[in-house]
Amino acid sequence: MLKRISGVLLAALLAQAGTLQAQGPRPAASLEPLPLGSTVPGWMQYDSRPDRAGSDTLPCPDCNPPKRFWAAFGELMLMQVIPHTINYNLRGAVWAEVTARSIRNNLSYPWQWDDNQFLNNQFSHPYHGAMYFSSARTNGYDFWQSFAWPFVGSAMWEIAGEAWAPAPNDFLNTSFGGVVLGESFYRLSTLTVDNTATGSERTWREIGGFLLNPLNGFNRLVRGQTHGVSANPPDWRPSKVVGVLDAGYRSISTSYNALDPESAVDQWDVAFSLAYGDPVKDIAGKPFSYFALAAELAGPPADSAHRLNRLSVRGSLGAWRLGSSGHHQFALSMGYDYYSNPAVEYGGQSVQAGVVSVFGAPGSDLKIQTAVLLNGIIIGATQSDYYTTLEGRDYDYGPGVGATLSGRLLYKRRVDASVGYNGIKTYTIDGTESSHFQDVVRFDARYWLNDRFGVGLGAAWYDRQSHYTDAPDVKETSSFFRAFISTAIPGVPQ
Amino acid sequence: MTSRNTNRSARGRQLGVLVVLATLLAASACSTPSETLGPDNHVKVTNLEGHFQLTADNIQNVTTTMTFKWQNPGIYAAIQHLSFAPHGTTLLIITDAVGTEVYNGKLLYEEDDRTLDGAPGEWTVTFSLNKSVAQIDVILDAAWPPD
Repeated sequence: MLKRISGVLLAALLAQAGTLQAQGPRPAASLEPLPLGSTVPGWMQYDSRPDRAGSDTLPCPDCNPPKRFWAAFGELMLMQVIPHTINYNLRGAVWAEVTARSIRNNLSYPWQWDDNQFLNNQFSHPYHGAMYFSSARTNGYDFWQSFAWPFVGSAMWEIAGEAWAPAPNDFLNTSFGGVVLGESFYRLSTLTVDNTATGSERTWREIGGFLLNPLNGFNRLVRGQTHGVSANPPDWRPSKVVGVLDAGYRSISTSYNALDPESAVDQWDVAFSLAYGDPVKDIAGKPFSYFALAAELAGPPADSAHRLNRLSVRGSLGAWRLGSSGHHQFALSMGYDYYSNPAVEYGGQSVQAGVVSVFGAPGSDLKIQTAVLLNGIIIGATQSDYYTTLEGRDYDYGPGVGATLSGRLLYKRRVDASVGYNGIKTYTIDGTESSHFQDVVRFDARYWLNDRFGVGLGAAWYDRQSHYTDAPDVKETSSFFRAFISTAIPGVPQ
Repeated sequence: MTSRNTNRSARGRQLGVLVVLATLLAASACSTPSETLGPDNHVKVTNLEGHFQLTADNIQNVTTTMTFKWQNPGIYAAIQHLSFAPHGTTLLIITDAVGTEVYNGKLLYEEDDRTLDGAPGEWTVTFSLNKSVAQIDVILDAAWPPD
């Protein structure tokens, strides 16, 4: 099922990217600052065209949509009622027996961190938050006006949607993660749909848009927007968009040698990266005018809960030019991270601030991008060596700080190499009394054989040093090696 | 002007809804002294050789400790956690026939667990509640390691 949905989504995005490619001449590629924390080459992007020929004369009812408070509020409530009804009426779950007394209890007793599994707390809750965000975002509200909705929705669910004690981790993951995933999926959904398309293309685009953001699809359906021709709002079309799909082999080892025959685990690996928007011109614009998304599936193990190895999204919040050269910008961004592979388990909500820079004149063969970012971890879930529960939680919760240093080199638009360092320190406030320092050094290189395909190698070395107050400290090491073929969607820029 | 007033009025109504909701949500109950278990809690104990079950419901802000002697002919006990304890703290502590603690954990919702191996005979089963809101349903069965 997941594969089928992924296939439709990918097809829809590919179709959109193909349209962007076909819609007009592209400007010469220029090297641009690194996407914040992204693996997507920022330079590998295309200009999009907002609409097909003749669309300038079309009406644009979606350009200034009215704010529909009651529709948004109703959908927010629907996002509470649906899961509650399923659990109460179909599953007969005791925790879904919400009464006046359970609400009173939730308001009067202390909140409690919960012990649910990693996937549930670090993916399902943020995704639920994305629905809360979307209830406002798809009803005429902009990013900042929609920002509070996952916070309100999460608070309502924690207090009156279930009888469990409200959990701070659920609230933080649902609200902050909901904003990041909500805005990203909203933009991907509006990128996929096309008001100027007709026939089967229109149908598939609407299906793709629905799957990427069910509330957007639902609202378009009930408002009759899934048919009829009108203009696409400019906001629906980023200035540039590009995806890179890697497929190949991955080896993970618990030593610094990723190919160590004693400890290495062989896996298939599929990674997809998407850069939405222009990382130079757009980061100073509306929030998430630029965002980078990275997802990775790998196996075995066949356990579907662990097949999603990574989902990371980082979106721009604003930027300010530093100096007169235009090479440097001070940028703010907001991120969501989910890592779950045989060596690393980490998830969190974060904000970043720092300097992104670009070196190399337009047209020159060698161009370099750099990023120096400080990372504020609002809430991080880090693998614990001692905290394990029957419910399945094996990680510590806490806030933290970190830094990201990265550089990317592009030579003659064929050789693309990047190196990066990420380090974060988290301080446990629920779990084992501890602090964790994690850092990773990574290197990736691609050689583009033509405009569409390339080959690449990647390696990463990861350390986790966990200091426990009442137990022996633990140092975990692991390394990764990847060999892959890549395809650029819609293609490597000329 | 009319349009602006209408917008303002609509915004006022929306704000009103949010304020009412917030007030409802923020109407926190006062903290009250904790209770003990009573007839309303329908405490039921099944205590047989090799099988033990305790159920109780409607537990609201209860602090108490209940201790039972249970004949366990097995090497360990299989535990079925069917409780729901959203607030306060709950503990299940089990000691074997020679007084060694073989289990110490909170009451859980729909989980299976087991004690450590222990000496067969008269085991002690203790339920400890502290300002708990809960429904309790715990089943213990004698168990032996596979040959």
